[in-house]
Amino acid sequence: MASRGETAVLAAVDLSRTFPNGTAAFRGLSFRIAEGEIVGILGTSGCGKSTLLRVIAGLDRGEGSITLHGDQITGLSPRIGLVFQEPRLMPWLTVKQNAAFGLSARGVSGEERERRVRAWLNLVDLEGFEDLYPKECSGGMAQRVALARCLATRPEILLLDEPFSSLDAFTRMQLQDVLFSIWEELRTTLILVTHDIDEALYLCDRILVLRGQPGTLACEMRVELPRPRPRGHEELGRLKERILVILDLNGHHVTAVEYNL
Amino acid sequence: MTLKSVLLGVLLPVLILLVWETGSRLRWWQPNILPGPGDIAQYMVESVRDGSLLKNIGATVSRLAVGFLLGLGAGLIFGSVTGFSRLISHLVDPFIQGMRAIPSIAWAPLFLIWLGIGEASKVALIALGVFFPIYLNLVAGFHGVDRKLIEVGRVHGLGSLALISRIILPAALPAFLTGVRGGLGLGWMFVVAAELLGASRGLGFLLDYGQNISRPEITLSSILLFAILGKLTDALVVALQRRVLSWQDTLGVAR
Repeated sequence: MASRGETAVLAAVDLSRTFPNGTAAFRGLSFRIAEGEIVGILGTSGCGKSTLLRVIAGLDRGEGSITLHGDQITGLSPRIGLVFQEPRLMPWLTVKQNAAFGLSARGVSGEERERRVRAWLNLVDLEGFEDLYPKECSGGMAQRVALARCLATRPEILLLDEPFSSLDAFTRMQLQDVLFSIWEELRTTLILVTHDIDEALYLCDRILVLRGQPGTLACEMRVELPRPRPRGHEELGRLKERILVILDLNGHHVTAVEYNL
Repeated sequence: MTLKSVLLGVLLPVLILLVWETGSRLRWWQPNILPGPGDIAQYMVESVRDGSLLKNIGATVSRLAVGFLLGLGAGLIFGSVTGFSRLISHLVDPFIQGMRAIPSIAWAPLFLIWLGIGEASKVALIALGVFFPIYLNLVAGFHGVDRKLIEVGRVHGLGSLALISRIILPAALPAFLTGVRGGLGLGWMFVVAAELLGASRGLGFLLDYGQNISRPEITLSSILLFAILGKLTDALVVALQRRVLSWQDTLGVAR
């Protein structure tokens, strides 16, 4: 499944995660992610996609192998960034201090930290809100801060766990555009776990569809349409239809083989 | 607060004072049963002049301060240790929770036997009263830290010490200050108890002294001072809470 022979940033081989009580979240997942790629991991709830992300991030342990630029990853790594579903800001820190959290944790301080935080807050359109506390932020603002906090440390790969799922539809679209414009500027490799098919189709180069409990890889789909993509483009509509069929959400069961994928 | 609500709130106390003063001047009741506000004020002025009132206030406040600091220190140490170590928590917490079932004043006679009738037993009793709310709130604060925030710290590579200083301590601060406020309130209660049990100085001593020499205005003065000082120290803690917890997403912090 190497993508077009490009160098893989992240390679997962035969990843599984079985909880101590015997239930498995996902089983036998192998995939490679190329430099600068945006890969979506799509699946219905319970297919283990969030657990997969936690295993890659090192917050949870799975079986199998994960390599980052060829180095085996066995736990938490400063080279991997993770944005959670909720903003998870420290309520006692201001927007600016929260955005600086990752940098301070890595010992970056003074002028350098100040400069980088300011640049990142600008990039997520939060200039002028530096001194607000999280309680004064809307959900969209808070998630922007969380993005800045993570990106400011310049991870080699950024994992996003349904980052916009708790936002209203309009804010979600705005933040998808924020994420895309950041990617355009930095070309950071992104793995985006989502249950929003439109979101995956709007942003991703490639979509891995997980299905079942435990989750297994049902199919891998490339979205060739150049970005920025018009929302509601008919090509995206066709792909969405296929994904719905694969996820068996249209009410009639068709296997991927029958559908000739 | 609007002017109207202030006026409404003041109305009842002013009415009571008026009736009280009128009643005592017109001898509706015996002044040795209930002296009027004027008598109380007169006693206060006298005792300020001869220096005895300040001496008594000083004695009470210094007892409370020492007892409070000891209780605070013990609460911080035990609370932190049981908050951070599961083993010690299993070992110590059930014991402390059990001890809590004993009303702290019940220890007073034993403290008198062990520590004598001097300052040590009084301070110990106050410290014990202060200890429990601080300990209990601190432990609850540590256990209540949002695991999701801890995960953020771990993802950003924080070690145990950094997790404690950057996430756990600030997150537990509101609960700790709630404990401090409760502890201070109990401290005032216990300083009264300790001084009633036998003291030759202090506001608690004045309570008792007024009764012994049948001068209720002395007792009433003491009660009034307890109210003022208690409210004052509580307001200090509330001001501290407002200052350091301004980030909290609750309606108007604690009132």
